[in-house]
Amino acid sequence: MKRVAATLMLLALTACSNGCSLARRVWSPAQLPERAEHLIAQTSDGWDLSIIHYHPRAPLPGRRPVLLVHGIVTNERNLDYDEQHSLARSLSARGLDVWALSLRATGESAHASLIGGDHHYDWDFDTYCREDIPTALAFVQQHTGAEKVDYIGHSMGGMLYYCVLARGGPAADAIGVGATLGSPLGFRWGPRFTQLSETAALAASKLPVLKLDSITLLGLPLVTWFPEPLALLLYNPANLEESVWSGFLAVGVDDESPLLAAQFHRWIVSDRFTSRDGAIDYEALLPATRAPTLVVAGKADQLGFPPLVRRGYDALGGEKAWLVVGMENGARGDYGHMDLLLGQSAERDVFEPVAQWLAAPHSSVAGH
Amino acid sequence: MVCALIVSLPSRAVEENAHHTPADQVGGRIYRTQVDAGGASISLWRYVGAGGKSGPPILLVPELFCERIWYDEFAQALQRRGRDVFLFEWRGSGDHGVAGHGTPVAQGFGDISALLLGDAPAAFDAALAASGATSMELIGHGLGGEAAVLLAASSRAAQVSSLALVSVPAGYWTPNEAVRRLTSAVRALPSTPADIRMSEYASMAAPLGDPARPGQWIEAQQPLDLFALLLAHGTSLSPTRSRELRDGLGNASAQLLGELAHWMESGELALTEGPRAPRQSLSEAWTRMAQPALLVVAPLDNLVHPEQALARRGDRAHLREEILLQRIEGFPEDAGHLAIQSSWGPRVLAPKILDWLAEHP
Repeated sequence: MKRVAATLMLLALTACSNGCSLARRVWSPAQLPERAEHLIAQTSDGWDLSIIHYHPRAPLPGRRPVLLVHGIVTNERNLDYDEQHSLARSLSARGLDVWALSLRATGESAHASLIGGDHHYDWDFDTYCREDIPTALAFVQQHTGAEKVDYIGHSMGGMLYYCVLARGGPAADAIGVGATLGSPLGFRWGPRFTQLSETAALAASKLPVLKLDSITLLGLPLVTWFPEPLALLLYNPANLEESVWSGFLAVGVDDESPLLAAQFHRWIVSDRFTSRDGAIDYEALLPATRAPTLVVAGKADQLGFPPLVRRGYDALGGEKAWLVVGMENGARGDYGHMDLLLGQSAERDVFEPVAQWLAAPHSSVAGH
Repeated sequence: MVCALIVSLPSRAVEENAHHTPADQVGGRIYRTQVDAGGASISLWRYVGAGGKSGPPILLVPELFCERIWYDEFAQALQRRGRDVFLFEWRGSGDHGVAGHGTPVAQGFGDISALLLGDAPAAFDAALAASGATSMELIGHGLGGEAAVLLAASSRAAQVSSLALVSVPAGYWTPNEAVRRLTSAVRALPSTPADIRMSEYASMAAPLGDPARPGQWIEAQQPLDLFALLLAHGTSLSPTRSRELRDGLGNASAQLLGELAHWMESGELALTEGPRAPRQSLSEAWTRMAQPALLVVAPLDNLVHPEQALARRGDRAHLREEILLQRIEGFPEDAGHLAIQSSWGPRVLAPKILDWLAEHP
């Protein structure tokens, strides 16, 4: 009986998902700026990845291109919500050549299907690290001729940065300077939240698919009307306009694979940042890496809880810097997880110091 | 010898020790005595447990420069649950706060070692003797709470059964621009021994915003002083309570502040021989401390960051458990440095700590 109910619910969600996908396009069509173009890079395992290239209006000579990578269950819209809330456009306006990736099955990248189709919900974090990020880095290198590409990752996008560095090889060598925003390398929050996360990750790992785009669209009014306490895990309302948050939920949330949830579950249980099979301890490999990295934590970030983000900073070898975005450092407010990209003053409080870090001379990276 | 002047008695009468021996002391009442801490006389209060005794005595190790008013409500909350609670004031604070005026540093407020290795051990010894117990539990707060760690790792270790450390850094580095500006201001102090009233210091505007480099640091929405930004941030305090706490900051010498600034900048706290304890290293003390310890961490703390309070999280050699003062964890707010002093600290946090201490005797 439970299986029948689950199947019916899944079918309903899938049907809704198609309708929701249409609704999301009507609601908020992706309005790319004039100087942006939509490109496709293909991974070695056959996925088409969406990469949006933001041409700088006045390119700064000698500067490396920058790859932007979003976090879990989101897509490129997290990096470019609109004119006022866009890391991509901010950096582009500063003269940088910016490339924003949508990981597989998110945004405008190829999507998976439960029945039929070319792609299925069978990827994990290691797949992103092994396939998607190296593909995107090589794609940018190929199109720009640059030897090195700078990298900015938010949340899981920053964890992928650590993973690529830890694995080494051509992808790691391709990275010039990096910045991670709210990217935890540890998985012990408070006891209650850790338990909640563990339970949620385990439950998600048992599902055939995590249909988050349709669920968020359906639950949007609820989340908007009753923003506590769940939404507060994700953002600080004092720092992020409600209309931006609501709009982002409609366009910026995507489905995920249960295998990814299984890997997160493993991390939470073990408090170790490893490959899904546990064979590779990514964190243990980081001291040998040398890419200059700015590690950014939001003061009020409950997902990227600063002590967990700090673990990445502590583990890194090479030149590194630590920034907590909060009033103590002159920011307009204490930043939550999504505020780091969508906060009303993120331009000054986050993007500006990140841009300065990329522009600064770093002895281990030739040129700017 | 006994300082009879009691400046603040917020809620209950305090009885001088001259008229009472421990055997005379009545449950639910508060008594006070003076303790020789080697070069200074410090005040020690005893909150005698109400009703039946429910556990070993507790020594509250206060934040530096903070007077009794900061901990009185919290101590009473513990007292009401049947615990004997001892609370002391650092030299330079409270009744002793006027004693150092115009005197050389050595005779006045002393240095950081005089506090952490002088005052705290003296209070500990006196409290233990007065209680008649064989061991005590410690609750340390903030930078002053390091003295609890030093006690737990010292020759007194066998007399410390367990600890709760509230916003106590297990490692320190300059956590933010506000502290950086604070230490710069300390560096600009005259080098001659002088008494510095910390309440005035706390009222300094938090100088965020660098006119020489526009755009790098922006001004906060509201003009903030150091008390609001470094101490009160994240914790809801009534205006009356806020004023009370500001006024309840004691005095310090330039030498002491200079040593603190060095600690904040370098991460190293050099402790010389103290009046009542040999030379010790803070990092070694954290390594040696073998008692069960509860780390109470405030996410919005701007003076002691959560990553500093949890800096030795990977150390699994000894029992370390954690409470995160977050709403998602069931607390009334995402707290800052003054959770103990908040309206909910005595009501919500004190029982949690007591429950944990009871489970780790």
